[in-house]
Amino acid sequence: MENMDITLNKVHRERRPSALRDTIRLIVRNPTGIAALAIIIVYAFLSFFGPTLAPYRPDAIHLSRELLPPSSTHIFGTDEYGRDIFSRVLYAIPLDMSIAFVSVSIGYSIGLMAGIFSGYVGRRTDNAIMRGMDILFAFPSILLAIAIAVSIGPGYWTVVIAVIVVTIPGFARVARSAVLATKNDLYVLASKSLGARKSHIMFRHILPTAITPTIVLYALNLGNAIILAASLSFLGVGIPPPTPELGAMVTTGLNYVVSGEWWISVLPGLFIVLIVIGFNMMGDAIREATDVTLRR
Amino acid sequence: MNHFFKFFIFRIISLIPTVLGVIVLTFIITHVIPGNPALILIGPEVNKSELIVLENELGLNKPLYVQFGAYLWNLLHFNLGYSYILGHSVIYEIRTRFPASFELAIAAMVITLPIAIYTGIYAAIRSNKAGDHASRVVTLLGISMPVFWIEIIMIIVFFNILGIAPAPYGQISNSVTPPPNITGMMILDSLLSLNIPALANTLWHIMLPALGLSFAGIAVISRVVRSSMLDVLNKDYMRTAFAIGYPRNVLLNRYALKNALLPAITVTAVQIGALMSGVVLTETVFSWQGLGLLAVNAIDDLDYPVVLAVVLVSALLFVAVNFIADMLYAYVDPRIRVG
Repeated sequence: MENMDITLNKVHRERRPSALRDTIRLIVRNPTGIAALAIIIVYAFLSFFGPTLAPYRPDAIHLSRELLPPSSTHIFGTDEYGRDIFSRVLYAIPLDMSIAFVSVSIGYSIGLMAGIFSGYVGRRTDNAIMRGMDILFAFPSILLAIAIAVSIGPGYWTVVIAVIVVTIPGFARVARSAVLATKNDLYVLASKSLGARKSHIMFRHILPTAITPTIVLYALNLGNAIILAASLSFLGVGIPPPTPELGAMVTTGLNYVVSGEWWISVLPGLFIVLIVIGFNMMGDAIREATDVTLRR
Repeated sequence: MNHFFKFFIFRIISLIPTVLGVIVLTFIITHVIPGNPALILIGPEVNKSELIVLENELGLNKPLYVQFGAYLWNLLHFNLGYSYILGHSVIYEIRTRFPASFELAIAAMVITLPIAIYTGIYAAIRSNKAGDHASRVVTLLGISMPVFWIEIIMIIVFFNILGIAPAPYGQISNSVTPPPNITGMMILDSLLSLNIPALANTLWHIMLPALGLSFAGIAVISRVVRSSMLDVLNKDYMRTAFAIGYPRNVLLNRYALKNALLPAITVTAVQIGALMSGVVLTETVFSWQGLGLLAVNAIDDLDYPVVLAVVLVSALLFVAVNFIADMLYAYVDPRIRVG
């Protein structure tokens, strides 16, 4: 008897093969994954400590130092009010990152739930939810975001809400198709025949299968969210001035491009591009790590 | 053809809820979300009695379903309201501004499709070789760069440094006599009126914005073409044909490409939505007098009926584009309409 206990214990302590650990290993071994991870870690660091590293205050106006090109005192130059662009970029990164994470996480939760519910319950509920998603899909994303932004007025939460609304349908569709693929699998039917509740089946058995395909979309949407937030601010319906935001900074520079002051737009925009590349590469790396059919 | 017709009718009918939904959603955004449309219409500096008069005029004191009925009725009569700022009916503004955006979008598609299809095929044939990797990098950049940023870079390179592009101010230089307004599309009008200087000038002006707009589409569509081409190339019938020894060009162009382009139809339709978003941003960068700039200026002027009309019109257009793509897909791929 004692012997058997020991074996059981041993079995439990042994590291079980874990899909998550496997996936992470595959991502880290992939050069794309490593590059993406490096970019994201740098931005995460800047999100927390960027403002403390800024050499100037982001809103410090020096009219005598306006429109200075990049130099040793202002490595990214100054804007039309003499504000240090590098400092403003450092303040803008946390803002843009927060918009992306908050909005895509909320959009992800709502979309995932809607997709799973829709796919599992089926019939009329499914029809109704998916028609709703079709309607959201029918709007070109920036135009829907503009409509929302215009009716609530510019600000942080406006941008967040606009991004949430734009991301929900994508998550819902992908989650739903994952559910449809598994809902009649043997293990789900077995659980059902044992008398498991619907909520139990949905959360314990079906939710995990919907995570993998949607997590790729999550990474890609973080990039899209950054671009959408920047675009809204670029159009003047996002984060209002004087708050530093990367897209809004590109807009300011637009008026000075023709006269040759290129740094005002180009340098803040570069920081948008870099993080979006990071998120997109991360999405690719996750997809390659989780989808066997892609490995050719 | 019978199946196709059935499918056509089915899709038309299933279009109705989407279109209605789009209209309802725009209505909700205008009417239900807090904020008084009357106040928005005439601005905050107004006295109470004027406000009440306008509220009555707009029917804002009526129940919501009555308001929605009126809204729908107006829509059916192409009445999208009146812009107090521009002094025209909104539909008039949209009609005059639409051709410029349409021309820009078409120009972008004319650049996008051949490049995307060619690079997609090229990447598939050289799968996992240098050319494929290069196209992957370009694709990554294409989807990661905000369209307004890459366009600003292009202005700096082609206007400021090289001096071969025009200044980013609209569709035609001030020094050139614009063509008569026939269709509203300047290039087409120049062509129709055989105005060669205007034609050259408008083509010169559309170059940068169209190119800037095409990047994202090239990136996305070429990736789809690549993967569907790879799928086809790995099919048994292709391998057999290769083994038999058919000429490579015939195989690729006649057998593989046709099948590989099917998914491209769908993704192109989806991409047109992104293109519409891109048009709004591009028009802002290049002062292009189209719908997007109309909406953006209306935002600055707090001219909300115009903004929401542009949103509604572009959503309905996008629905129509997707519908056409579905039809096209069903036409070229019989499996869709039967299934």
